[in-house]
Amino acid sequence: MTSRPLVAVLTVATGTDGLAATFDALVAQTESRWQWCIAVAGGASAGTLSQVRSMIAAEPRAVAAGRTAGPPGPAALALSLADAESVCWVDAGDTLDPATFATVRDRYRSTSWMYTDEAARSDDGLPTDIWYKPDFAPERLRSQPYALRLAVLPLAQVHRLGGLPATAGSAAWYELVLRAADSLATPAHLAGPFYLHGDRGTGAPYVSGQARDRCLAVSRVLSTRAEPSTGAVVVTPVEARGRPIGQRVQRRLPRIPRISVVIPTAGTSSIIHGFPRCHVVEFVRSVWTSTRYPNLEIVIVHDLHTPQDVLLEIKDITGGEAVLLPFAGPFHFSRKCNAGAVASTGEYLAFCNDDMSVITQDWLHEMASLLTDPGVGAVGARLLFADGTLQHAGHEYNGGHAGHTMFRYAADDPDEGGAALVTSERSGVTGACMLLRATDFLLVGGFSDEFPSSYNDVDLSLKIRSRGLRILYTPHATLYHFESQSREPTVTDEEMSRIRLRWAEQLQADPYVNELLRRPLPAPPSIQVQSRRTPSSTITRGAQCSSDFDSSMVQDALRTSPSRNIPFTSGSGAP
Amino acid sequence: MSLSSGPHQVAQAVTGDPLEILSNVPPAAQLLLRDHIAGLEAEAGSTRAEAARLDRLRLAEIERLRLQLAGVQAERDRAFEERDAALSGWFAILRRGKRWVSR
Repeated sequence: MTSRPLVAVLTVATGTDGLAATFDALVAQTESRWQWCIAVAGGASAGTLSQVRSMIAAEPRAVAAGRTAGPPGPAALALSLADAESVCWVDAGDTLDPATFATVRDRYRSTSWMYTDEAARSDDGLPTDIWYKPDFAPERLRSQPYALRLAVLPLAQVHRLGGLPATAGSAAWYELVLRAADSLATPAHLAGPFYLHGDRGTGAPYVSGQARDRCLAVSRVLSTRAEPSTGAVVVTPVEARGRPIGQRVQRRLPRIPRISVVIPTAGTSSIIHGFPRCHVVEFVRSVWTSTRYPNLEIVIVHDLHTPQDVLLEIKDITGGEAVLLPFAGPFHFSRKCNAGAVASTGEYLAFCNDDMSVITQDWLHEMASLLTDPGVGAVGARLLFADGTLQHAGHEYNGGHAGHTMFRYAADDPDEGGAALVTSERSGVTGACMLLRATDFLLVGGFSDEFPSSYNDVDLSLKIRSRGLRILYTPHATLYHFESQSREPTVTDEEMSRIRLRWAEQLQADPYVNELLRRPLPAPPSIQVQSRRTPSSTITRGAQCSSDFDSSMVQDALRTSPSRNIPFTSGSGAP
Repeated sequence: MSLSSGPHQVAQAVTGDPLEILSNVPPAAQLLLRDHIAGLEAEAGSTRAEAARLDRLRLAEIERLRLQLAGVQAERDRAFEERDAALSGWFAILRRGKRWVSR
């Protein structure tokens, strides 16, 4: 049995405020194997050193060094004092739940590193304004220092990763966590507000330090990554309502891949902002004239009853370059999108509803640049209603249902940790505006024929994720989506049963919904689904039945000439 | 009707690998096939997850019953001990009485 402390807590003392609160919180830990490494900053206020000395005298587990202004810097100085299995960072004045280190101890052997939720500390010492974080999301970490408080890292790995360089300034711990995220295995997320902020600072929700330091830290870490495609990045601060929320990471596109924008439409019109608007015409105009992307193809999949003048206007706008694909048959979103994909020539496919309008001119560039990461399988945009509220900021799957993150919130609302304001992972994104590689689209079977109107995007997203790819949402690609705000989405019981049959587990365990907020399926597992294609067969949950596959559909499809063939490898293992 | 005009017409070597054969299927059909496969895999995954969940519940129930059994056994043993203690006391009295009688 080793007597080495489990965790070394690093703190830089710049004044006397709050040190006692942190000290009390450490002494109150139910797991006693900790060490407090205090570095007194060079410009610390008078009395800081004497207070630290009195704490060291009272508590043998506290060690201190201090009053250095130059290199190695106070953060590195605190780290140099550490002699424990792992390290974490606690700002002076912040506190920990008494069970924090006991929880860390219980999980320590089974994970490479870990982080917890965080909250503000109320006057009575209890958590308030809790930031319920998602499970590990690397792009979120690059866009926001969300996994820093409380991050617990193995000390040996910290030294291997270069420690806490003084050049990183106030973002030294952030840079270290970023490097750990790139080098170590996926961390565990300890759900619960273990870390309590004594002072919320100026950030929202709990972003502190210099924005410039954070941006440089992200830029440095990304520039040293192995993938050449992510070598050149521009990182700029992101604010919401005047408060820092994170940063935007803009990647350079090493080349300009051809993007096919597939738009299914019936050529309908409605009143928007008080004026009649033919949706597809205006959206095509918006894409063709406002979008800054040089290698673009527009594929319009239109119903047979689409007015001819609508089609003529589209031809006129695009100079005849738009591909017009007539679609016969009843409404079927998946079939229309799939038909458009087959007819397209783009390396990337952007599926867009017709009732939209471009706000961010470089929306396609932004979305395409995120696909330069080979681990990313699809990207979704931020969509706003006509009144500027959020229509889409990514999907959330919980309790057997699929919902939209922060639906109808103000576009700049920093709630949920600023989830709608920074680029981050999602379990799924809407099919109303989704960009993905054509090869990935084909490999997973495109939009499923099983879902004519609802859940086709949920299913596609989960198929992509089942191949081990991540899905990103970006607020830096923003469009209007003039979907009626008063219309209740019509979801048939059949489609709901089908999606739960396929993805029961994923619809109740979304990794990007905090573990404490996840709910199980509401319905009992006896789901019966009537096949649409062969009405005589039924699928019962848990049964091996797959007889609803109608080979005649393949025969029909075989008659079409191939325009894009890719190696037919079996899909990935089940999730 | 023959399927081809003969092997001498084949320009490329073939492996007969089913996946290679399927890669020549037109994209529209590939989408249907691949979605069907993905759907089956997803359903299988859901079924496996449900089985694992039920297995965890079963193991938890077994553990609960085991603890309950251990508790009942401990209670039983304690009752036996109390009974034995009481009985041994009576036996001692009886034995003493017997000895006294035999004297």
